[in-house]
Amino acid sequence: MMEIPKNDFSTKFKKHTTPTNQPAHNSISEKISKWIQIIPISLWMLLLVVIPLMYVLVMSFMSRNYYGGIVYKFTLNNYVQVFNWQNLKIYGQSIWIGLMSTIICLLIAYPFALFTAQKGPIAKMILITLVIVPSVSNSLVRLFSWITLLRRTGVINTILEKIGFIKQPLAMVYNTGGIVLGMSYLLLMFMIIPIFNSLDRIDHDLIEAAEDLGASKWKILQEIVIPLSMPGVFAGCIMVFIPSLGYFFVSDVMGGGTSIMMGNLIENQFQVSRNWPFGAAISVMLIVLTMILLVLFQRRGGKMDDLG
Amino acid sequence: MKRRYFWLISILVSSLLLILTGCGHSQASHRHTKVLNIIGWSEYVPQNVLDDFTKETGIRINYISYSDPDQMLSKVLSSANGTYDMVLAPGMYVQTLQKLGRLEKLNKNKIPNYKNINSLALNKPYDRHNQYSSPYLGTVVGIAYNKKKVKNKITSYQDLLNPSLKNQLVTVEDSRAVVGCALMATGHKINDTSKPALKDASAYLKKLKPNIQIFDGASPKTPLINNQVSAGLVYGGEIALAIKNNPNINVVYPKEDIYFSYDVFMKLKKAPNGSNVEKFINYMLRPNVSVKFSKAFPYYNPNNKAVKLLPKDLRNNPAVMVPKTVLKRSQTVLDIGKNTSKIDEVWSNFKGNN
Repeated sequence: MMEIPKNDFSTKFKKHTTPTNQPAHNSISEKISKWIQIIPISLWMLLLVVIPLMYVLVMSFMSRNYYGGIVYKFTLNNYVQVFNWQNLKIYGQSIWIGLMSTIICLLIAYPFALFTAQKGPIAKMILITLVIVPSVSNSLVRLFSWITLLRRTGVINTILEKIGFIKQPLAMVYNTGGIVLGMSYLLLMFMIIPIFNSLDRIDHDLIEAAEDLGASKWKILQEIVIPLSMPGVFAGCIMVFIPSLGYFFVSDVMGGGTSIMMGNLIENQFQVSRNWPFGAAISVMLIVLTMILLVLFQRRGGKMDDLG
Repeated sequence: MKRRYFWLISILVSSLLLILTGCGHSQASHRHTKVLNIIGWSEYVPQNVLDDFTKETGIRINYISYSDPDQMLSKVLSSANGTYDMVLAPGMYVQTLQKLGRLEKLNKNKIPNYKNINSLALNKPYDRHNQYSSPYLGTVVGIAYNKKKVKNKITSYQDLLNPSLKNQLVTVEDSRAVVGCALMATGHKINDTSKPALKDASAYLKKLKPNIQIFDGASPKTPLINNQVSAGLVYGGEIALAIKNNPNINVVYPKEDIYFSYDVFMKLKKAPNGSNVEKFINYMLRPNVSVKFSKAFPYYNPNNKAVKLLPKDLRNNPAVMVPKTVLKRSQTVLDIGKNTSKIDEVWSNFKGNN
């Protein structure tokens, strides 16, 4: 708010100056207007992203308070604890579930994106809107409806038993498979959209040229479409894999809480164990892991813009 | 052109998401002269009971809810004195909050209905002389089982280890309660954190793990009702609701000791509406009011006069009105300070191991 009168002042000032020093004033007013554009977003980022992250980082080196919160006493214990065997097993399990979900999302999303990208503009818009629309409703509600479908006495098991397809109800939920299903379901959208965008951007002339030269459909897909859509595939994989490590409520709801994932481990430190510094240390590890993946993504030629 | 559409859609979706997630909690207000700010369990006090109090006294109630007592603790500790007037939390938090200097003694002269409370619910180790707390309802952890599905007789915690129950149990998501049951199953006290005791408890839990299908803190009755599981370690009130919806469900209290904990009202220090706290507690101890919340949330009711007014199906339901003989072998979890981390370690090893 304070910048506005300054700006007024500079424009008034400009009227009384000689043409010789006008460029200098121009650059001043340009600078001021630039600052006006930058300050709000910088303040926002500083207050809501940078300071909290710094707080998490500082907290991860502090000692725990047994009633929650922290004691300002430096320690490296939290990071030692991060790498104990029990916790390493949990990361392994999380990464495994994350990878499975990513692969399933990719297998579903790619053909769908390919199909959509070949449609006309209106059909494209409708199809993509249909992909996005479910995310407007609460994800927990959607997970609980999966449970109604999948549980032992749920819709699917009842129907399969009635038609005599199975004798015993299938265990489709409250296990690792249930977690992977819930995770893929919630994150599928983040795989479809980047892949669709990269497919949509492919120059159609390339495909026509290949057709003219007698390439088969399969050859075109293999030589042109898939290579050119790789940035979207990478972007989608990152956007599915990283959140999957943190979505603790999916393993609580769909897995019945019997397996702990990285997100659950962090949540437990704040909600149950009252070990905030350890929770902060795992969060820092998760951020570092994310950064490593992003660097790899950029090295492979991915653009940060593709990640939204 | 195409890209502009996606911009539009993504802006629309993200703004919708923002609106949906932005519906925050209403803040406790201090301005109004006749208010009472309570922080308590979610889904535990019926709204009509609170409304009736406001109608009668003109005191407006702000009920701020939490789903985890540690959430309550961090909220109370991180906000200024006087933000909340009173707390509804498990009994062990009397010790915690008192140690941290946050509790005010109750003025018992202003709570004539205190005499309605069953003596079994008084003089508990967390509040030896009943200076700081007044019990609301009590929670037991019992074994619920489906008569049709469980063939072997269940009389003890050890019976839950039976291999025929593989992947058939639901357990509450509550470290102190479940580790506590494991301690009692192996003949230790519920607050014992000595090495041999925890070793025995861990060994019990390790054997129990293959039988557990679901950990559910929010609604363990649901998998019991729809036959997803056939037995479980579940809170009494939840078992009562399960029995109501599925007559095959039964409750049994193991022959070893059992977990029992009261949720109590406490008055916070420097409560700006302090005098309303006693008024409210006295109101909640009235038999006719007590019956109302007991019907909505069928947990153990320690109000002697209210119990006589309870409908028969509640009064004679062992999941609700835990028999006196069982209550006598109940143990109460206490604030064990630093040793809590030892329980946490047992719990996360138990949950993390597959």
